[in-house]
Amino acid sequence: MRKYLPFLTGVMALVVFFSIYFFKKREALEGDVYKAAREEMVTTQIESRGIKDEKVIEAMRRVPRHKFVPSHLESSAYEDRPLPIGCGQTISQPYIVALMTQLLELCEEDKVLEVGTGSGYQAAILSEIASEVYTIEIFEELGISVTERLKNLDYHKIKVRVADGYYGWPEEAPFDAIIVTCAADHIPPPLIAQLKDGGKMCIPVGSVFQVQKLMLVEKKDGEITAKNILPVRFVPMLGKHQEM
Amino acid sequence: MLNGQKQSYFSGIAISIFFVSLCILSYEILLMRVLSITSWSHFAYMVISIALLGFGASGTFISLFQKKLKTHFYPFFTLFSFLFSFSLFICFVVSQKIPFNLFLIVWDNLQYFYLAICYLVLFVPFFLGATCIGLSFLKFSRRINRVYFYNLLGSGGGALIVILFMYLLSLEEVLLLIIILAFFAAALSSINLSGKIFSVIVSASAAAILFFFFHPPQLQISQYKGLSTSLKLPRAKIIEEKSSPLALIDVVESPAIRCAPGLSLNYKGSIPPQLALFLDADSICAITDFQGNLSNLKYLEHTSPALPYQLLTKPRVLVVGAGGGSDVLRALYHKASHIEAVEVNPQIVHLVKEEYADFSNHLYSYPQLEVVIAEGRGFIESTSKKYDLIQITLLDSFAASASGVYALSESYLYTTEALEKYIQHLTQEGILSITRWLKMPPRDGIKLFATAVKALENLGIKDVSSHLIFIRSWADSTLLIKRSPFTSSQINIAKEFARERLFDLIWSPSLKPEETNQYNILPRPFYYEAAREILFGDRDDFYQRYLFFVRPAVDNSPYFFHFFKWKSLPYLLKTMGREWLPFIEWGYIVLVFTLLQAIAASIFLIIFPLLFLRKRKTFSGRRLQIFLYFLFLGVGYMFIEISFIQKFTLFLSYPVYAVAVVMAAFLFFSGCGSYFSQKIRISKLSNVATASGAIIVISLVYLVYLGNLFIFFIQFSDGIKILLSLLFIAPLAFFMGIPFPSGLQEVSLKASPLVPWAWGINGCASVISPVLATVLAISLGFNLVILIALTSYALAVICFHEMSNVET
Repeated sequence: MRKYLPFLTGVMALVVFFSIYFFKKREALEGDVYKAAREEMVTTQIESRGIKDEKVIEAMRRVPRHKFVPSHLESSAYEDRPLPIGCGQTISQPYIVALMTQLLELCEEDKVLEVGTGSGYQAAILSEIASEVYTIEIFEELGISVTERLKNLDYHKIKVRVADGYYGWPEEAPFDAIIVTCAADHIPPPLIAQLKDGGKMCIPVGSVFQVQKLMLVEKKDGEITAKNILPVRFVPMLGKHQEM
Repeated sequence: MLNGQKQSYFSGIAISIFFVSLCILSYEILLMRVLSITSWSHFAYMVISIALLGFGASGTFISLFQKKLKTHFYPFFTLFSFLFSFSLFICFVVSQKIPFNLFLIVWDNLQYFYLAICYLVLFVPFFLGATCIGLSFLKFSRRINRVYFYNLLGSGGGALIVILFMYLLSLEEVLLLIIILAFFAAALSSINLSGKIFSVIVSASAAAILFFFFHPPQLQISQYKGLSTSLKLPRAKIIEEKSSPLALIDVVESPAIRCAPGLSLNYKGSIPPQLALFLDADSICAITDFQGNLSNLKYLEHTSPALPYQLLTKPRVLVVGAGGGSDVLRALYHKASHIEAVEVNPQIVHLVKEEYADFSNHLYSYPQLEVVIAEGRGFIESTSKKYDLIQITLLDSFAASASGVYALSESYLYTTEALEKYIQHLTQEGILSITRWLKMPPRDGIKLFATAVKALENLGIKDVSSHLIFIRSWADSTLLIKRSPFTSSQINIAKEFARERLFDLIWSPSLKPEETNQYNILPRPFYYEAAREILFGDRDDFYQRYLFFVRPAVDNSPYFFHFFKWKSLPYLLKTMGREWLPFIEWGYIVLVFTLLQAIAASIFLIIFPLLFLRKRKTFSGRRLQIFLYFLFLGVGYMFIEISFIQKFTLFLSYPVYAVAVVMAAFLFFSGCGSYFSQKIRISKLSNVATASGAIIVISLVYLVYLGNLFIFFIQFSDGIKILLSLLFIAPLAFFMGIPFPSGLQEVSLKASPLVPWAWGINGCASVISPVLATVLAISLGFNLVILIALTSYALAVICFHEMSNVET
């Protein structure tokens, strides 16, 4: 038996070597595939729809969206659609993420609060631009998994808290920008209070699968205004030329 | 076989047919409820329509194997009824496990597969049950009228009994009872077989019932429904559940529950603790713990429905749709002198008044408050009181509203006639206030405004524009309609109210364009532009050119939530993409999709057996007449039934009563018509011609006079109104029960192998017709649907005579 030992050891070493080699190769290949998909996403879904902010475009290019979706949906991660992530929540369509981020007009030194962490993708995009990102998730199950995910992906700038986002993050307030990605029938007054003067708050409104409008709340000299941004072109009247 | 024995065999089968029919209809209504809770009502509509094609398929199946099935009728009947009983449970359980999600269908092709599985699974019980009935038509060809009688009697009983059960028991318990009745039918039919088989069937049934009792199915509510999401909130739990045919109510407790729709962005205070009431796991309203201190309700002053209270002093208020009491609280907060709160669901009232009386601070027992259990429109039709303020606020959930789920739902609350009635019940200075969710792209608010303008015009008001004030927050819009013109001081108060709360003015007398679209800024002042067009522009041209259907809803076509326009489809697809469409007008698209697939499946079910029956040349001259005859009957019957359900909804107030009473009455009296169809001969004409003539005459009389009869009797009690409804329906339904068995009898005499096929055609027509009736009613109104039905009956008479005249 002993005489076969070197032979067996050699075979095992070869198996281990090739396994690592193939695994790495596959990973690199996958990386390439997803990188290409990401590039295509940026070109066809982001830039072509009028997203101009270079910082946003660069962030969308960098953040590996496929790492933020359930593994069985990885191959669909860069498609032009929201994806279910459990707990009745979705990860927004890439364009909506980009549009919301652009609407906030973030600077490098900005402090951002996100209410409704979900998959963590939006927080990751924000953290590529702003210096501090605070994110609150109310669903414990999602909060735990997203904390782990962000740690694994080295997004150390993002602080996650599992709590009721309704009250914001008063210890870190005020914020230059706030994103509220969980639907509510009203905008929590504490969040408006935690918005810095001159700050912006973005809220998607609609069902979990379709953002029908984006509310952009701005605070200037204590005065609040809200803009309704429609993510699609809408002209309410059919002209004669459009009628069929 | 002796005649007496034959008679006793028939009696056993007749009772089985009664129970199988009862179970089929009860199961159908139960499934509609369950799928509306676990998913959404339009999905339920789609799935059940297809599952019901099991009737058509049973006709095909019997056609293909009729010789064998007829020879061994009794064992086969027992087998199918036994399998039917099993399938009721198994298919229910399996349907709850299918991970289908309608909202994902535009992106995820796998959803089509799940949908197909849903169809297939729910199709099985209907197929098995219908096969039992179809087999009986084949076997007892000389007593078709009696088979049909028991079939209709059972179906009518099913419609009534399931509603009654749903009041008393949970949905899972109702299912178990239906299963017990189905097993009873199977056991009864096996009496005709050997004692051994009978014992086996009885024992197996008892074992299955026990198993089902100890392993009741669990309802799997979609994770995207409000209730599922709320239950994941911190410390969230269901603390009470109540079930009735009106709704499944879940009371959810969690510190993270806060309900304040459209709260002003300028509001800086807090919201008192609340309990959420979920209706059918989605629509939400709240019971608020204001600790008996009205100052804790300040937040209600910062919502758009608070506007009318700024314009009135200590008003007498009518709240339509009181729910958990938010509107009542708003009225109390604003010092209303008297409040009448109308709520359709007695269980909600009971929850607030009894179980959560402490939590609600005995809200519904306040001295200035009177709670009335009634449907809003029915109440206003039956009262002679006048109010300073009538308030209707957000009666549907935002998510469902946004995605057009309600497009199929008739609503008599928002029709032109309804608004006229509300206005007539206002005091001279009184205000009608209606709040709706703000939909994007704009359509809901515009349609409401158009309806209000039409209602005011119908009441003979000249300067309509001075009777309207319309504001919007970021989430909802509130329209005020005043019986007399708004005064300049009221207009100024409204403007100030809106400014302080960052609400935008859409319309008020003398409003300048620059005063609109200031706080919740849209790319253009769409609402204001639409309001101007409706008031002062070429209104018809505007309705035609607007991207959505915003013409006022009327009682004859009460589809306020229907906004879809075929003309706009290419433009919508081009500019917004296919992913948007479902979320804008889901309901209508699902309806059309359901109709198309039902037609496709029906063609397959009718054409397919014909290919196999081609060899039997003897019937070639009769097939077309048979096909058309049973098609026209199916269409005629269902069109009339559906239209009358709608008409009686207004009379009986509660849609669920209307469905149960009208359906049961039609089925029962039609059963009587069928039973007597062979015993009576009114004239020299065939029974079919006589019956059809009577149907046409009675329907035309009702078309003209039923509305007046309703107005005359509407103030009577519910019990009397139900009796009157039965009385009105009886003669019509009696005659409607004659043509089908008479036709089937004729087929069995002259081309008996085509009997199951004819049964299948009628089954398919009965499935397509309700969907088609809704599509037609949306665009043409119910009166025209009835006229089409009458034409169908007239054509059926011609087909019948053609069919009878062809020699064998």
